[in-house]
Amino acid sequence: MTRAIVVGSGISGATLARVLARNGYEVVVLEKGRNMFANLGGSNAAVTNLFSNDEVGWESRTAPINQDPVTEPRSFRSDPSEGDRVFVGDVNDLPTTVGGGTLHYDAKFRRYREVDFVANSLMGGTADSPAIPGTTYADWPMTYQQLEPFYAVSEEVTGTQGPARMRDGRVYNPNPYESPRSTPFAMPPGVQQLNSLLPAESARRLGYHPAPVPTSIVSRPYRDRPPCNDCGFCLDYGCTINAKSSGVWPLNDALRTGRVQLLSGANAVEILYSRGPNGRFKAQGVRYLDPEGHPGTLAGDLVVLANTPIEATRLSLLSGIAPAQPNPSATSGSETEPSGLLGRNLMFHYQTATITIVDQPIHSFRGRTSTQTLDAFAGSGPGPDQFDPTVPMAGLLEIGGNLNPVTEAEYFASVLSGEAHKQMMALGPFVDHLCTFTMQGQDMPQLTNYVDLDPAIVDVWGQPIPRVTYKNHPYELAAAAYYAPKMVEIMENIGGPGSAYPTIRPLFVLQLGPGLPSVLETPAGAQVQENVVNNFPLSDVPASAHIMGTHRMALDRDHGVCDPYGRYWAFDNLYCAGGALQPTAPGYNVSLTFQALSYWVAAAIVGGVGGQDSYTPLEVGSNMSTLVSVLKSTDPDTMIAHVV
Amino acid sequence: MLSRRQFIQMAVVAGAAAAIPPVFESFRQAAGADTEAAFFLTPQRWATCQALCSRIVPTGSDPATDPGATEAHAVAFIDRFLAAFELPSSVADNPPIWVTGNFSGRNPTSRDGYATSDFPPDAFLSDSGTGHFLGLTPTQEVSWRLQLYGPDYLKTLPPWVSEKWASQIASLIPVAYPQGLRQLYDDGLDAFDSWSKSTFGTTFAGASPEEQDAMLAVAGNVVLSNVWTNVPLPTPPAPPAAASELVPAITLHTFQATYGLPEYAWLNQVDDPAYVERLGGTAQWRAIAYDGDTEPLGNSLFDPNMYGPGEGPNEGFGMEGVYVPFGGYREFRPVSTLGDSGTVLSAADAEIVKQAIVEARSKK
Repeated sequence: MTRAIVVGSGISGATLARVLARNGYEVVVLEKGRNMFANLGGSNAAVTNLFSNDEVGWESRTAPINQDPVTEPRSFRSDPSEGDRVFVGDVNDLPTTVGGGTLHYDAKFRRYREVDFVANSLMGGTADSPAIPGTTYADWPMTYQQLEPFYAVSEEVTGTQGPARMRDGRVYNPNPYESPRSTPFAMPPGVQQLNSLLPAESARRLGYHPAPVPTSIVSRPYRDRPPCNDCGFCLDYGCTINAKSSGVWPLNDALRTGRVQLLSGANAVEILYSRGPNGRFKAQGVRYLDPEGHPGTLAGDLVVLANTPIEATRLSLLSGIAPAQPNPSATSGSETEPSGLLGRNLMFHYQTATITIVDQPIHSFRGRTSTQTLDAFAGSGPGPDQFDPTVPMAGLLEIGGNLNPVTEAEYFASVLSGEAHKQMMALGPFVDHLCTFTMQGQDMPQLTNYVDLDPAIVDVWGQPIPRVTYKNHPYELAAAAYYAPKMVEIMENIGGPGSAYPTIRPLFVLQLGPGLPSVLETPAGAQVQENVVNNFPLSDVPASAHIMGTHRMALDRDHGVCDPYGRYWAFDNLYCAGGALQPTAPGYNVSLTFQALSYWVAAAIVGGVGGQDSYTPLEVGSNMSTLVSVLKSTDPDTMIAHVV
Repeated sequence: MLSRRQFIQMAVVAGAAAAIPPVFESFRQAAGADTEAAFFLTPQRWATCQALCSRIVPTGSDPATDPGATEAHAVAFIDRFLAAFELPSSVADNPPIWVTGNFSGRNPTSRDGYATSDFPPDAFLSDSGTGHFLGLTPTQEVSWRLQLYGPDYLKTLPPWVSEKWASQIASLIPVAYPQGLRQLYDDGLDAFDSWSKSTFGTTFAGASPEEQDAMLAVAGNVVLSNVWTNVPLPTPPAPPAAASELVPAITLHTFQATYGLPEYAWLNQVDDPAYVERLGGTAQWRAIAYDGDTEPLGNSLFDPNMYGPGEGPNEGFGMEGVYVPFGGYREFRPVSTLGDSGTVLSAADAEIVKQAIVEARSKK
C-alpha cells in the first residue's frame, strides 16, 4: 500500500487525505496544533467539540486554537531597507488546530471567475511580460472550466448553501457576476440577517446585483449534521453545533476509511529526501517534534505540504529546499528548487472597509456575520467576452458584520470611561446598529513580497521563525481607491422613503482602515499611482487570513515552484497543495479554491497524472478525463458525479 | 442565591439550607466581596481593585436593571485570573483561560422549530462551584505563565523550552506585559492608592466616585469622559506611571468580566436568578439589549415540516437520487426583520457616537 504523509489538517490537507484514502492509500496527517474534537472517525453525528459562544476566550483573548504570537511568533518588514524586521508577533496568524483555519471562518465559500484564470493574457500580458508593470501577474495553468468540477465536488463534500438552483431544467444563478455552474447548490440560503439585507437592498436600488453568499454552513440537515441556527457567534468561533462546514468534515470522511492516522501536536520541521536514479529528488519522509520537542520520524512514499503558504515555505527552507539566491531583487534556481521562486509572490487580500451606523437597533450581533455579497467590484466579467481591461479589479463586498460587547467596550475605552462609556454601551452602536462592507481586493503578485526564515529569532522549540517581507502594489491601492466612494454611496442610500426599509436611516458612514484618496478617475495612470503611493501607509503589519502564493504553479519550471498538479519540479513525490499554488489572488474568499486545488492535486496523484518536465495547455486539457474519472469514482454520491 | 430549579431540587432531597454543600458556600463567598477568599490580591489591593472596577463599569441606581462590574464580580474574575495556575481543583479544574464544553444552560434545545423546556446543564460551571476550563497545551501553558509571572517565570521554564527563545523574550520577541500581569496589578493598585492619598487624602477605595472617575480618566488619558454630561471632573496631578500602566489591563479585564460569559467570574444561574435569566442572560446583557450566548437554541429554529420536498424555498436545490433538502426556519429572535429590543439613536447621540469612533481610531 502506498503511504502518503500530509502536513496540515486544514481544508487542504483534509481533502488530500480523504481523496487518497478513498483510493486505497495509507495516509498519515500531521497537525501541529491541538484537537478540539472527539469521536472523529465515526459518523458525523457522533462528533463532538469543545466550542462555545464565548467572546472572552475566542475574541478578546487569543483563541485556544490560534497560533500563539509569543511562543510561535513571526516577523515582518515591508522592505529589506528597513533592516531584519520591524515587527515580531502575530503576522497573518491562522488557527493551528485539527481542521485548520476553517474552524473559525465565517465560511463564505466563493469560486473565482472564468476571467480570473486568464486575466493576464486578456490584458495582453504573457508569462515573461506580465500585463501589470512591477508584478508577476500570470494566467493559471488550468482554466475555470477545468477546475469547475472540483469546485462543485468541494462544495458538496463539505456542505454548502447558496442561491443557484435548477429552473426549467437549467442552473439558474441569481448572481450575474459568477461564472457558469454545472450543478445547483445542495441546499438553499439560510435565514438572512438584517444588516446584510439593508445594504443589499440599497445596492439593488442603485443598479447592482447583490446575492445571498454561497456559504459553507449547512442550512438543512446534511450528511448527518444539523442545520445552522444563526447563534450569532460565527466569525472567529468554532461552531458549537457542527453546522459550519470546516476542514474537519472531509477529515472525518478520511478517518472513516480506517486508512488514515491523525497525529495532532506533531510539528513537521524537516522533509527527508535523497536524489533518485532519474536525477530527481525523492522525498522519504518527515521529521517532526511533539509538543514538548521530542523528535519523531515518519517514512512515506510521498509527502504533501498542505499547511499555509507561510508555513509550507518555512518547512521547505528548513529542509534545504531553497532557491540559491537570497537577494530579493533577483531570482536564481538551485538543484532542489530550480525556479528560484519558492517563497515569492506572497499574496493577501487588500481590505477596504466602510461602515454605517443606522438609527434603528438592527441586532447586528445575530446571524452568520455576512449573508450577502456583491461582486460588482471584482472587475469586469465573468467571461472573457465581458472583460474590459480598463475596469479595475478589486474584489467582492462582504455585507453584514457582527460585533460583540467586549470588543465594543474595548474599542471605546481609549476615549470614554465610567458613566460615559456605559452610556455608549447602552446605545450599542457596533453591537446593535452596525452595517459593514469589507472589500477583499485582489492583491498583485510581486517578487519582492516573500517568506523566508528570520535570521535570528526562534520559536519555543528553537526552530527559526518565518519572516514576511511585504508591501502593497499601487494596483490594489488604486483599485481600492476607485471603489471606496461607490461603497460609501451604497451605504448612504440605505433605507428611507421609497426603500423596503422606510423607517431605517443611516446616521453616518465612515471609511475605516487607511485613508483613501476620495476620487481617482482611472486606476492605472502614472499620476494615479503616484497619488496613491503618496497617500497610503505601505508597511502595516499584515493581518489578512487570506494567504496565497509562495509555491506558484506553472506550466514549466522557469515560471513556478510547482507543476500544474502541485509537484515540486525537482522532486518525484513531493507536493504542495492549497492556496500556496495560486499564481494570482482574485478578490474572493479563498477556502473553496484551496479545497478545489487540493482535490485536483489528489486526483492527479491517484490518476498518475503529471511527472512531466513541462506542460502545454493542451496536455493539461488532455489529462482532464483522468482527473474527472477519479472524482467520479471517489465521490459517486454527488450531483457533480452525475452530470460531469 | 439559588436558582429556582436548584432550590426545588435541593428542597426535595433534604431541605434547602442544609443542602448547600460546603464547596458551594465557599464559592459564594469567593465570588462576592469577601476578601478572605482571595487567591492573589491582598485585602487592601482587593478593595482598590474593586473600587476601580466599580468605576470602569459603574452600577446605576437600580442594580437589577442597571448593573455594573460589581454585580459581575469583576474583582473575583481578576483575582482568580491572576491566580490561574494556583487555584484549588475544587475552584477550577484547569487554569481559567478558556471555558470548556458547549453550553451554559441559559438556553434550551429546540425541536421542530420551537424551543423546548430542556435546558442542558451549565458545562462551564458545576453546581458545586467548580469552573470547567480547557486544559492548556505545553506551549499555551508557557505563554500564559509568562504573561502572568513575567521574567521570573523564565528562570523556571520546563527543560524542553529553547534557551535561545527564552533569551529573546522581551528583547526580540515582545510580550504584552513585560513585568507580568501579577506584578502589574500589585504595582498599579498600590500606585492608585498612594496617588489618591497624596491627592485627596484617602485611599482610592475611600475617595468619592467623582474623585475616582477623575483619577481613572487622567491615568487612562481618556478624552471624552464627560461627553454626555459636560460636568467637569476634578483635575488630579499627573498620575504615577504604574497607575497609568495598569489602566489598559484592568479596563480590559473588567469588560471581560462584565460583558463576557458570567462563568469566568464563577457566576451562572445558580447564583442569583434575578441577575442571570434563562433566555435573557446576564443583567448586563439585558441592559444593552444583547443576547449573550444563545446555543443550543440559537436564533433561527429549523422546522423539518415547514416545507416539503419540491415546495417553497427548497425547490430546485439538490438532486433527486443524491440529496434533496427539506424544511425551513422560524425566527425565535428576529434575525431578518427589525427588532424586539434596543435603543433608537437620536441625531444628538449619533454625533457623539461618530465623534467617539473617529477619536478612538485616531488614537490607535
